[in-house]
Amino acid sequence: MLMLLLYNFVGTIVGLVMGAMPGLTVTMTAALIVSLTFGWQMIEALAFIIGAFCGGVLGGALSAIAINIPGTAAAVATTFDGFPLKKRGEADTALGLALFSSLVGGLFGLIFFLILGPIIGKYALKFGAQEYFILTIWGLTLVSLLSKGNFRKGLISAGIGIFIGMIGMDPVTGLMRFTLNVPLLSGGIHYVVAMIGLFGMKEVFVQLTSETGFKLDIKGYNILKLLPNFKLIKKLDLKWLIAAPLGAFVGLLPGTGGDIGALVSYGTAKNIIKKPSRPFGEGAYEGVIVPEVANKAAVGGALTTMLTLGIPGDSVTAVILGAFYIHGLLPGPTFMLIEKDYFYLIALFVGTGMIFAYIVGIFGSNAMIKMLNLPKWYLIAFIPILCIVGSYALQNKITDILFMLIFGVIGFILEKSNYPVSPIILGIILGPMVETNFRQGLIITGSFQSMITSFFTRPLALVLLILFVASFLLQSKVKELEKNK
Amino acid sequence: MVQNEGKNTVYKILSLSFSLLIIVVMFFDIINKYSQQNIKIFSIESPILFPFLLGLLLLINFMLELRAEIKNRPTKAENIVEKMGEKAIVENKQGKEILTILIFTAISLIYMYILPIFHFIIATSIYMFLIMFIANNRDNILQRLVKSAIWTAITIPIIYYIFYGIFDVILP
Repeated sequence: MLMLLLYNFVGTIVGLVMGAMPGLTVTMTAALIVSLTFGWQMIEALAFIIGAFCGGVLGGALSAIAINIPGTAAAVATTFDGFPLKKRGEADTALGLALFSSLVGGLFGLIFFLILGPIIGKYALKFGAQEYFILTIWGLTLVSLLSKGNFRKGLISAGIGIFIGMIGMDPVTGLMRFTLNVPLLSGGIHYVVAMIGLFGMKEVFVQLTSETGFKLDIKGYNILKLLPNFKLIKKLDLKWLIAAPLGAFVGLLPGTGGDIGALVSYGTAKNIIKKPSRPFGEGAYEGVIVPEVANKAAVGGALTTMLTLGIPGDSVTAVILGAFYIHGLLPGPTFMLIEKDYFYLIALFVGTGMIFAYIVGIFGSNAMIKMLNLPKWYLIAFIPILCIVGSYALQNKITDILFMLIFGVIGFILEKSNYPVSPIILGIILGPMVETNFRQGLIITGSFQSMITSFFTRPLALVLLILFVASFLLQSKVKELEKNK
Repeated sequence: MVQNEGKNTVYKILSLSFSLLIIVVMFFDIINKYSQQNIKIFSIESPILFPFLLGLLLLINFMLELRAEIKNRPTKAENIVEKMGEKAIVENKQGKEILTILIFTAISLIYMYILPIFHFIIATSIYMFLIMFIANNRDNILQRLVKSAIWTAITIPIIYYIFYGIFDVILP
């Protein structure tokens, strides 16, 4: 057990460092780690990957506060008040609050996960093909809708992802699809290779062509000031606590993650906290606490959906879901019945990962500030090697490197034309689920019309359909918030 | 990350072409299977029904996106003004970016091919040195050479140990 905690701890450090570096996303870190831990024992790999996930989400706050560039998408809302606080000379307080609220949010998310996991798992057993079809389509459309760019571009990206997932042999009939008689494509494209290309290599291309730099004017943090300042927290309006359930709930929705959870919570807090310590956007303490609580609570929510329904909450959990498949774990409705022990083991890793991330965040913050000063050209040379070795390590095939490079170029071109890349990953992972459930639903009901009718006659399907519509209404609020900022 | 959102004409054309390519491949394969292998499209058990519906969805979205892009393109008068000023700068920048990506991809492809020949340590050292040398545009040539050599010499043993010693990865 001690060794497993060590793996979890090292994973947290790796995640924190990668999450703190602008341009190195948590999704990219997760994709690289999945490929590199491919040959490990399943439990060791799980401990490491989950640790990196917890650390990565927290690492994003560090650069958000220090240089106004969120290390991860989940830390976007943290920049709204975190950076103004730093500019007022309160960088220590801002990071201290971010770290403490991350721990609070993370532990709340864990409790949420432990309570709701078994409940959803019980209901998930009653889900049929129709319910799964709605859920997977929900996940895909929601991520397309909420990601940057517009809905249409998001849908095209998701469609491209589903197409990539379909290349190779049809799992039901054995028919070769979209291989164009090219032997190289007959085995399909490994989704981790696509992920490394789309998130890792693409980012290298973005950094290579970007002229923007950042000026780091913090020399270091006072460690003592990073410890929780309860005096200050006591003075604040307790309404910030709303961020925890809100973040966890948003994380629970298929296709949404910490970034959306943080934005929704920030907007809500802005409306309900009438007397913040300072106006929001000008360095309010609540403005740092709320998004950090929410994006960590969303981790618990996203993991709940992933483990009990087999549906990833966001692109990071999509990669982690892929890792589970590689190691023979099958998240889904039967997970709580067959793999109950793993459910609690994962919960343990999340808990320890959050605590480790908090401790390393405090004592390692100065080292991470030094790493932010690493020259860009060094990172640009270092990351492609990780991507190349990562894609080769999966199947020991040189051709996987070629695929990874192609995906890197595609990801770069799409991002430059404002197409979101995350829906491609969700499309690759969710595509086979959408198709399988669509085909099963058709066979069970006998026709397309009967399948549509069954969406309204099956109570669970109807509830999901209502939630689907409700989430679309919620997104307009998120879009409004993004526009306001 | 995205710069010149509205003006990335070259990238927009490339993205639309890529989407179109996928749609063409999808329908080509579906029609091929329908006509040569006699596989029905509209049957509840058909393996090409879902791809067909997906292809339709992609086609509709592609057409709408194409229409939106055509609508948003600059008018003739704007075009003449832009050709002389900002547009020329942006197009020049895009050209430079594409050239950088092509050079980088070419180096990576060469690395991919020399990897099994020279093995990990030598091939990766050459690759890392070259990338650092190209990416470092702040120092003069001598400084770039020295810095790239030093960083490569420090990093390669660490990377090798991480991959081989910690992650147990079989390196080429």
